[in-house]
Amino acid sequence: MPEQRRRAVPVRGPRSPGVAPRREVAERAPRPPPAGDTIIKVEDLRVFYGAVQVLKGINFEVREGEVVAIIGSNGAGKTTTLKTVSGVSELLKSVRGKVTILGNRVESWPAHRIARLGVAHVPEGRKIFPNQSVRDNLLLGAFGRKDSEVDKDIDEQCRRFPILGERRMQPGGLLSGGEQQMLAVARALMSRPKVILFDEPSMGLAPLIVKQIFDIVRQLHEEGRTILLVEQMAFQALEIADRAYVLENGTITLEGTGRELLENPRIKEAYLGA
Amino acid sequence: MARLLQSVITGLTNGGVYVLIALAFSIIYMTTRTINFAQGEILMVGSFIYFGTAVTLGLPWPVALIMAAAGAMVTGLVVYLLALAPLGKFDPNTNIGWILTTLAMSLMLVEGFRIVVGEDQHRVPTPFRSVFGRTTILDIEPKQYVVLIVGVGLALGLEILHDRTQLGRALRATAHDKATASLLGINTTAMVLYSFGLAGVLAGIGGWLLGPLIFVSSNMGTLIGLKSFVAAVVGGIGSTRGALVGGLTIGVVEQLARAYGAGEWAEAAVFVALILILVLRPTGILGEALIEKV
Repeated sequence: MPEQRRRAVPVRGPRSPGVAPRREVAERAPRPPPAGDTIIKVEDLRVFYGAVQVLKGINFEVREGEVVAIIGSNGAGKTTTLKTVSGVSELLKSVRGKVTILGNRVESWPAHRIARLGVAHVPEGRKIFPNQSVRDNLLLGAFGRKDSEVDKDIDEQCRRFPILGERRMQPGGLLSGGEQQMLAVARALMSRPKVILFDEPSMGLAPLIVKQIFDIVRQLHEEGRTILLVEQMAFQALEIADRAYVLENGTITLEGTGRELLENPRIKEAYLGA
Repeated sequence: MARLLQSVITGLTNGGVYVLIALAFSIIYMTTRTINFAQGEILMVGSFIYFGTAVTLGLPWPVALIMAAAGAMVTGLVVYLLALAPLGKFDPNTNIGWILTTLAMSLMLVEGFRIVVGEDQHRVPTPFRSVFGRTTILDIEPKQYVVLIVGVGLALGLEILHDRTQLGRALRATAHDKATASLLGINTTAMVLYSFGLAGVLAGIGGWLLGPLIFVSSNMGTLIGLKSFVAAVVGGIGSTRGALVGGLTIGVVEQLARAYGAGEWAEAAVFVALILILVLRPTGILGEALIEKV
């Protein structure tokens, strides 16, 4: 894979809002340690589906302004982790341990209450509403908002993703897979979230589109947004992550900065195909 | 010709009630994918509350109407809490269990009212006699037209409400995918309660409209509920416009069959119409096919 030999990755200096410096350089500059407040803190999280234990006591945190990635193979518990953080209730599911979001213990909260704390979850498989128009999908993203700037934000998302502007009145189901993923991201941004959770944003998309989607995540990072990203595509995820965790069979087996993990021989062998 | 015209108009005015109850079926189906077979009995409860407050207690009719609608709304919520909520944690795909529990609620309401208030049929005077006197239009009394106007008016009002507001978008989102809707901050349980409450109000208004047309009795709602269910399916269940078209269609089909010799077969004609529509167009007249692209 030629892409993996390419060492050039974008570098971020100290971020200032609104400025998005993107330089391609040969070596990654040392990243400043994350200084922001803790947005999400997960402690000894254990999740069961009936008798099956999917998460076996995991710990991680996400601080303001960070991109944190959780990588792992199919069935490792990645999606379960995200769904538990955002409070999606499922059949037979039981949760032990602590999930703290912005200072609130939320492990028993319903999803809609957690969403209103400022958690936007871009679900696996995009899950846009296919029978509703692009505009209605975006308006649904702003469901909890009472302010008068919703229309302004819709215009902003249509500038960010021009295809959504062109297809504003069309049903979301008529968009292509990549466009639907953009709609899902724009819908998440409509809530003016404090943290965005991405569940496998690359899933089911063509390689060129996958690159576009990761560029979007990178751009959101440069805007200073806080992101928790769950991905099977380990290389792309580690490339944009400040920090990352490796999840295997419901246990976090490794953690470090994105760069440390990229260079870890075990990761190279197991996930990067080197 | 005059007879045909009169049959069609009578059918349309009868259809007003079917429109209301078909709307109730549709909105509950939207949020829960279940059929509330107690819907006709909730109409009966509304009729009895109106009879009790307006006739027995002699309260002014607008007060009695509000009490009938409120009582029917509470009945709808109770049906949800007793028959559906306890099953909510089970697999939503096994909807058959849900439907049977609403059928049980329907039987319990009919028998409960029969035991408590008896089998008598009660006459409810129309509140519009004082307004319209004894005038008729095409030999049809004004109270009949009121049924049509209220049915069509509420259907159009709800269509606009659910088409243009966040409430409507949230309802459709809940209908399509509860988990994703909740991730956007939508309280899906509140949406389900709203749909049962609104369906109850519609049935209560239906009970108020129907009281002066037929006698109020414990079994008045059963056939109305069944025919309205047919109307909802014929129009396309889950669609507000479908409930409107289906309700009026069923009203006219039934009345034409009654006027042109079918007599006691008029009710059967409704079900023949159902079979024809389901063969020709399984989603109903206005039922939409789902757009899904993966």
